[in-house]
Amino acid sequence: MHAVLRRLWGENRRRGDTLLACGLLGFSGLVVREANRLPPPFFDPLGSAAAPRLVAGLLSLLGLILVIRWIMTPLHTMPDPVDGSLRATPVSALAIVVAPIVYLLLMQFELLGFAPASTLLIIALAAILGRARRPVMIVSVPLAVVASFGLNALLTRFFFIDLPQRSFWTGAI
Amino acid sequence: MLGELSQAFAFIFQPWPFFWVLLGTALGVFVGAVPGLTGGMLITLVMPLTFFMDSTQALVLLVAMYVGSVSGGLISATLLRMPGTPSSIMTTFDGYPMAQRGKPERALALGIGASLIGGLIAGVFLVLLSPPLSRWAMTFSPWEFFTMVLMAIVLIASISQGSMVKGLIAGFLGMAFAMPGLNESDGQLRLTMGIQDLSAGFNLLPVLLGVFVMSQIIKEAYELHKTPTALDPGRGRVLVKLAEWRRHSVNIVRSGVIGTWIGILPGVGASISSMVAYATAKNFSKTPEKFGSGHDEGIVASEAANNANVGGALIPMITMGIPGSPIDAILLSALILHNLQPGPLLFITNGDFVWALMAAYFVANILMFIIMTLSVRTIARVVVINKAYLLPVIFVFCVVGAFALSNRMYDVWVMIGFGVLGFFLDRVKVPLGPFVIGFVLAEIFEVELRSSLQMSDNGFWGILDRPIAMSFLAVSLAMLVWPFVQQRRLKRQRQLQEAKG
Repeated sequence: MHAVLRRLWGENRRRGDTLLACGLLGFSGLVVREANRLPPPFFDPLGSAAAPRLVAGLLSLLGLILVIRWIMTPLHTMPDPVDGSLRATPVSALAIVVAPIVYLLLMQFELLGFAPASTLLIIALAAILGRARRPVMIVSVPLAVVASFGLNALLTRFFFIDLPQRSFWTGAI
Repeated sequence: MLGELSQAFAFIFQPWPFFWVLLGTALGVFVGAVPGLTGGMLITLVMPLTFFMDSTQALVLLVAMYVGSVSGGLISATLLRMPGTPSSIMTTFDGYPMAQRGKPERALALGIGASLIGGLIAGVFLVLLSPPLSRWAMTFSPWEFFTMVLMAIVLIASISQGSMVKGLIAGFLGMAFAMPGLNESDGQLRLTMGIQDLSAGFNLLPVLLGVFVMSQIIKEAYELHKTPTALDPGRGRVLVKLAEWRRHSVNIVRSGVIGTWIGILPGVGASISSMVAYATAKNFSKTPEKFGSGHDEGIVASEAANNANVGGALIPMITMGIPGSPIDAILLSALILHNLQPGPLLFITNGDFVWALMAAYFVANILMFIIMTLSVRTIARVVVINKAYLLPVIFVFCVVGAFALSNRMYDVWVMIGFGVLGFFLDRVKVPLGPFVIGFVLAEIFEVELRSSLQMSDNGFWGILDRPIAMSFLAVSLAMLVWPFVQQRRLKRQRQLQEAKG
């Protein structure tokens, strides 16, 4: 059992594929549970539940193939590839997901309108992607103001897109 | 045919359509040249802005972007040794060494010229093959369409990068995400998990924006690359003499035909075309040992094939509504968003539109040649632009695009969700191309299968009465089984060699 677990978790690629397989099994289970709630077919031999069940079944099967393949492959036979030109920065990746979520919440709860919220977002994203270096920020701040307010004017006045405008602080911007 | 094509050219040379082709090509070249930005990203991003345009002009713009983006990749492949688009990966093998040896102008000129000729070769096939193929496809029953979609998914999974299992996972996962909401066949709500907003399912545009753009932005934040330094593009003329092209004519025509043919195969992208053309050019070359060290033939083969792939991939999209590559899946969704029904009837219901697309394809190739020849030095300076300036603004465009679809925040949340999913899939080496193709084709797959079974007296065995559908099914099965057979053969050969040695 320990050897099997080591083969599934011992190297980066194995870990990734094991997590993928678990995700697929969980997702397929969810799809099948939802498909089972559908009424039986009344128009055609298949009905609405057949395609989701089929796809979920295939996804589970492929997930199992992934797992079995790694169990059958001894450790260290396929080492993880190393790319010397890049360095992983998971905190930045997390920040780049959190920033847009905060941005959407600000607009959804009408705390800020599109233009000011987008200005803040562009500055935040530029700070994350540019590691908050001074030259990047000097360009990004005016760029953020021009892009956000310019886009807002262009899209609302010429393309008639009803962007969120209400702001808790000012009523409207 | 010639009459319709000349009318289409007359339309394209009117001021506004010509402006869109010019703009699309220039933007495509720029985006294609910047590593990390892709044509798929650009087209998805611009799609919401085309809601307000006439459908023909909108698609003309998007096709021009497609042509430009595939060509632009060669600039960074040659000067940075980083392919601007995946399809230019083979160009790095010979383009960069040639530029390093002090001949950057020659490497760029060969690539640009080969891109033009490859593109035009595919254009000829596009014009000649599309009408008869479309007429042939009109004889198809639901069985043929069902098996063709199946073949597309298997084909892209088996030929796309990395493992076939992961390609299939991507395709089926894309199909699974297309299933929630109101089912077209019987009006049944399904897989909504009680969430009201899911009744309409996941809209295509937020999914595309998430998978192609948002995931790329997360990836850029995750992977801190060393800042690339570009080689000087030189000061000489970016042109190659006509006599030299005559020397390369066989290689260029062969690579153009390979690119077109691989493009026609459903779901197979331009990177495979350039790989196959490069390998073939090497096999036929009198100097194969020079490949990889800055050889003319390598650049010509790779660039002629990847541009020809664009024209080839448009053929199944226009004639059958089956995407020839992931970008064609996006174009297909643009057709749907503009209320144009893709499929064999498109030629009959919107013939002018189809011919205009073909004319735009030719004009975009010629404009690409002019733009790249004249401005390659300017573009070369911009390709090393800090993405901290570009990506945040691109993200705001994505938000607007997703929101503008139906003026609701739900679509923006969907975009972010699919962005995160796309990033994770990319991390575990699940290709995103088949995911998008699966998402786009899921509805056709299910509708055609259910129609086939409704029409059939023998259930699934009804397929035996349809020889074309059977051949599509046979190809799908062969593609599924072939990698395993090949693996066994290689293993046996290795064992034999070990026994001998």
